[in-house]
Amino acid sequence: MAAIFPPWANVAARASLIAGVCALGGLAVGVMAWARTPNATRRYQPVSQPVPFDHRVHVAGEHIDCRYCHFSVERSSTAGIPPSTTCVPCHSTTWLTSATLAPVVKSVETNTPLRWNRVTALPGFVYFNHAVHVNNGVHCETCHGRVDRMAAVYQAEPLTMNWCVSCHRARAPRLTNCSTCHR
Amino acid sequence: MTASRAPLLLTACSLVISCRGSHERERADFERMRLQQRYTLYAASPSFANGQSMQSPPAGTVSREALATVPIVVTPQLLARGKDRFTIYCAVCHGAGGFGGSLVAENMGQPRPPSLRSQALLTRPVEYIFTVATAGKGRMPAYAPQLTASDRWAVASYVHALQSDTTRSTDDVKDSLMAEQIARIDSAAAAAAARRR
Ligand code: HEC
Ligand code: HEC
Ligand code: HEC
Ligand code: HEC
Ligand code: HEC
Repeated sequence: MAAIFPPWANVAARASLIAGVCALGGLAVGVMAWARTPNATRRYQPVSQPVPFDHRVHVAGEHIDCRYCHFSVERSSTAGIPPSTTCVPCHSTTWLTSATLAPVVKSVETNTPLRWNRVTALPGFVYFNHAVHVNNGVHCETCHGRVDRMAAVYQAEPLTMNWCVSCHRARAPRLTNCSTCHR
Repeated sequence: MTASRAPLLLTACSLVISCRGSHERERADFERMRLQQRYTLYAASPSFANGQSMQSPPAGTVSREALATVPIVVTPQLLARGKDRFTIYCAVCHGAGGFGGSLVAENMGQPRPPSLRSQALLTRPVEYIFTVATAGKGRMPAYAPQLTASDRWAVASYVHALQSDTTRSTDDVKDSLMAEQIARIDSAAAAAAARRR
C-alpha cells in the first residue's frame, strides 16, 4: 500500500502545530499589547463639548487657578465640573451675548445643568478620590497632563490599573490592597 | 495520535467546555460591578425634575459650621489660609494685592471689580466682607459654594489685614500698577464718551 502522506508531511505537521501555538500566543500578546495602546485607553482623544470651552484662554491666558472652577477637588472625591453660574461674573456683559455661550445662558436662566461630555472616567467599581491625592502633594498635572495647553481636554494618562498601582507601589503607604480602590 | 495521549486531549477538551457553564453568571457579576447602582456626586438622576443626583439644600438653610465659627480668633494660620483662598478665588478679579488690577478685570466691561484697599472699604467691619463673599454684590456672585463658612471668615480677615498693610510685595506693586493702567483706560473711555455727547 502506498503511503497516504508523503515524507515531508511529518515536517509540515510539526510546523503547523508550532505555528498554531505561536499564533495563539501571538494573539494573546497582541490583545494585551493593544489594550495598552492610546486607542484602547482612550488617550489623546479630544472630546467635543456643547460649549467650546478653552482651558488655554482661562488658565494660561487669564491666570485662573484650577480650583476656582473645580472647587470641590480639595474636599471631596470628585473635582466636579463648575456650575454654569461660575461663568457668569466674567461673562455677563461682553461674552454672554455671543452665540457660543448661548447654552450657558440658557442653563443659568432655566436652572438646569449644562451637559458636558466626560473626558476622564473610571468604571463604577473603582473608587477614586481627588482630595486624598491633591492634599498629599499629587498635582493635577501628574494625572491630567498640561490641561492649560489643551484647546479641548483629552485624557493624558492611560488611567489603567497598572498606572495607578505603579505610583502607589512607589510611595510610602503602599496602597496596593485591592479594596483600596475596589469596593 | 497514540492512545496514551487521547485521555489528555479529552481532559483538555472537557476543561475548555466546562468553562462555559458559569460564564454567564460571572459576566452578570462583572457587569453588576462595572455599572454599580449608586450615584456619584455629579451623576445625572432621572428621579428629580432638574436631572441632578446632587440636590441643593432648601433656601435659607444655615450650615452648622456657619454658626460655630462666628466669634473668629485671628491667628497667623487663619491669615495664611485666608491668603491662600484669596489668591485662588478673589485675586482672579480683584488682583493679587486687592488693588483691582487683574488680567480678567482688564478684559471685563463696566463695572469693573473694585479695589479692596479703598478708603471706603477701610471703614467697614470684617463682617461686611464676609457678607459680600457669602451673598455676592452687584455683578459679583455668591462664593458660598466655593468657600466654606470658615474659609470665608479666613478670607474676610485676610482682606481686613490687607487693608491696614502698608508694606508692598512685588505682587502688590504689579497689581497696583495694573489697576492704575485700567483706571486710565476707564477715564479715557469716559472722556471719549463725554466728547461724543
Ligand atoms: C474657568 C473655569 C475652569 C478652570 C479655571 C479650569 N477648568 Fe477644567 N473644566 C472646566 C469646564 C467648564 C470643563 C468641562 C468642559 C471640558 O471638558 O472642556 C472642564 C473640564 C476639565 C477636565 C475634564 C473633565 C472630564 O470630563 O473628565 C479636566 C481634567 C480639567 N478640566 C482639569 C483642569 C485643570 C487641571 C485645571 C487647571 C490647570 C482646570 N481644569 C482649570 C472649567 C475650568
Ligand atoms: C474669571 C473670569 C472667567 C470665568 C470664571 C470664565 N471665563 Fe470664559 N473667558 C474669560 C475671558 C476674560 C475670556 C476672553 C479671553 C480673550 O478674549 O482673550 C473668556 C473667553 C471664553 C470663551 C471664548 C473663547 C475663545 O476662544 O474666544 C468661552 C467659550 C468661554 N470663555 C466659556 C466659559 C465658560 C463655559 C465658563 C464657565 C465654566 C467660563 N468661560 C468662565 C473669563 C472667564
Ligand atoms: C492621582 C491622579 C489625579 C490627580 C492628582 C487629579 N486627578 Fe482629576 N481625575 C483623575 C481620575 C482618575 C478621574 C476620573 C474619576 C472618575 O471617573 O471617577 C479624574 C476626573 C477629573 C475631573 C472630571 C470630573 C470628576 O470629578 O470626576 C476633573 C474636572 C478633574 N479630574 C480635575 C482635576 C483637578 C483640577 C486636579 C488638581 C487640583 C486633579 N483633577 C487632580 C485623576 C486625578
Ligand atoms: C502619582 C501618584 C499616584 C497615582 C498615579 C495614583 N495615586 Fe492614589 N494615592 C497617591 C497618594 C500619594 C495617596 C495618599 C497616600 C496617603 O494617605 O498618604 C493616594 C491615595 C489613594 C486612595 C486613598 C486610600 C485611602 O486612604 O483610603 C485611593 C482610593 C487611591 N489613591 C486610588 C487611586 C486610583 C484609583 C488611581 C488611578 C486612577 C490612583 N490612586 C493613582 C498617589 C497616586
Ligand atoms: C490603586 C488602585 C487599584 C488597586 C489597589 C487595585 N486596582 Fe484593580 N483596577 C483599578 C483601576 C483604575 C481599574 C480600571 C482600569 C480600566 O478601566 O482600564 C481596575 C480594574 C480592575 C479589574 C477589571 C479589569 C478589566 O477587565 O476591566 C479587575 C479584575 C481588577 N482591577 C482587580 C484587582 C485586584 C484583584 C486587585 C488587588 C490585587 C486590584 N484590582 C487592585 C485600580 C486598582
